[in-house]
Amino acid sequence: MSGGDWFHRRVVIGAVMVGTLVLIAVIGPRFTADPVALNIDRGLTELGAPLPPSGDALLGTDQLGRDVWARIVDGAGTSLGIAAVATLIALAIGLAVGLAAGYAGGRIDGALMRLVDLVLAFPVLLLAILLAALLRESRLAGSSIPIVATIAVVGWTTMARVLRDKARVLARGEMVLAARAAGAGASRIIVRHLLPNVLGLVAVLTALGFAQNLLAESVLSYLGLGPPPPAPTWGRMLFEGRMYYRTAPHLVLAPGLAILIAVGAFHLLASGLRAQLDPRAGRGAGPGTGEAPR
Amino acid sequence: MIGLVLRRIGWALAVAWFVVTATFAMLAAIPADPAKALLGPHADDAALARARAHYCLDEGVLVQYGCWLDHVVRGELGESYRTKRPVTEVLADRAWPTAQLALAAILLQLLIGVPLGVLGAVRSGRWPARAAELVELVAQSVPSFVAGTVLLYVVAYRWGLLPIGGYGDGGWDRARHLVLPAATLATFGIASYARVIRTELGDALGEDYVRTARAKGLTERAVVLRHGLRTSLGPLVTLVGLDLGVLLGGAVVVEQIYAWPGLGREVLLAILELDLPLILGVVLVSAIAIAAANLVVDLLQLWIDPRLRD
Repeated sequence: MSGGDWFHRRVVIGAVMVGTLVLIAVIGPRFTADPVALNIDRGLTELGAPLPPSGDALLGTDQLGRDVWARIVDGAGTSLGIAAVATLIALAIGLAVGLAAGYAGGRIDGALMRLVDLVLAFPVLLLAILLAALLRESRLAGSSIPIVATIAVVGWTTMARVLRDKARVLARGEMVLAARAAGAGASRIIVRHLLPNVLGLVAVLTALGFAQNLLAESVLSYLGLGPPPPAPTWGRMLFEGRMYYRTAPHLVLAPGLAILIAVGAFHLLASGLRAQLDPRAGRGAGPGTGEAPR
Repeated sequence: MIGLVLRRIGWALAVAWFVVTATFAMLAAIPADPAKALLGPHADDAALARARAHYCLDEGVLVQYGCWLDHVVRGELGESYRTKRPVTEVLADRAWPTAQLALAAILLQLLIGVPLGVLGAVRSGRWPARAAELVELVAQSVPSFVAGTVLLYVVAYRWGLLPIGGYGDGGWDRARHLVLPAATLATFGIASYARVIRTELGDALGEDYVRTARAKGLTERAVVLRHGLRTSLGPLVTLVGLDLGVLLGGAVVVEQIYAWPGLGREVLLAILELDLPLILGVVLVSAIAIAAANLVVDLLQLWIDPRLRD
């Protein structure tokens, strides 16, 4: 089936891209220049403008003469790290809430899903802005904790909703009925029977969550709510470079393409995984639902 | 039926109440003095005393909460300490530019996203569908500030076709200023509309009633437009409603890039000086916009799909 090959290819292409990104993030910094070292002498033109891409600096230098490629590589670690932690937290909450609601049904299900609705009533970006503004006086300001917390607080909701629907179907099935007849308790059924059956879905949601959280992280960094300088993140690189978009477009294009490629890789992986999980959905299923901050 | 409608309305009110309460809780939970947090580091003692009285900060938490509810319900959201103007006045000024941008963006999403989705479903598996899918993948993966800056550089700066930014003076000039911000804002939505139409229409085209429509000799065009797309209406209404709710709260990034004087840009200026009354005001307005949009979507769905009524 030629269609099947294409879906399979999506998983492979996405996985290879993601693997490459992780590799670059982990071992890349050993092979690049110092990402925060100012280089006023050689990193700028005589008029003080950023240097365009050349043999010395693969992607040119920025407005302070810093090596853009080195900053992209270093930023990969920061961005992927934040997205990873936020996704894992969101997944843990989403799994717990989704499976509990789906298994229990009735009142508990209703209450938990209403909670999801309530959290979704908040505009994501404004919630982040509000949290950052409120936390500025505390010790957490200037760390990555506010941004991770914000992304995770919002991110678990869609995961919980999707997992709840799946768990609901499973909980009504014969497998769970048989387990209950054999005397298994709620927690045993959830862990031993529901969890293994949603792992495929969890893989899709994780890839999707990564894509969305990378986007969220870049937007928040772009607005100055990300991790503090001088550590580079893609979003802030673009923000700092945007004033120079006429004279040095590479300052915008380099981080922009980095974000596009990273987010696209995770979307590709997610859509391929979903197609394998549910071949019927494969005909159409592209990247997933959810709201990106705009 | 009436009971169902009342329940939906009640739920929307509950959401609005929750948002108001949550913002209060956040304000009460910060370790710093709320009056200082609200007025900023340069406030003088007289202003601080006024804020303490206004928000009942010297009373117990419950009285403070009652105070907060009372102010919000009466639309007294305090004074923006950046502009020294009442927050409600600033919000009223900024709402119309944001609304124009939101409506223009949703129009573009419908005009581009829907045909793209139809193409993907009708030509499924062939190259036009693959191309449509690729456009979707890119549109969904590119952050608005990247799309915005690239459009600004290419269309406005390099080609000089459209203005670089600003609001324009009414009529035609306004429309010219609106194109790029609306297009940037619509990028993500185009992808999600296209995806929903592609999957819904794809499913519908495999149904028996579509085969019947084909068998009775309708042209493929009529089959797709009149019978195939009908099932996509519900999901599309949901998407438009949710987008309307989200976008009416202001597009922070896009408004900043194009210097569009809406709620989003106001919020960003407010962040820079941590103008908390204004930030809180915009959060409240946009959360209530989202709750209202959800309510309208729910009611419309009940009207479109009678099966939901029981």
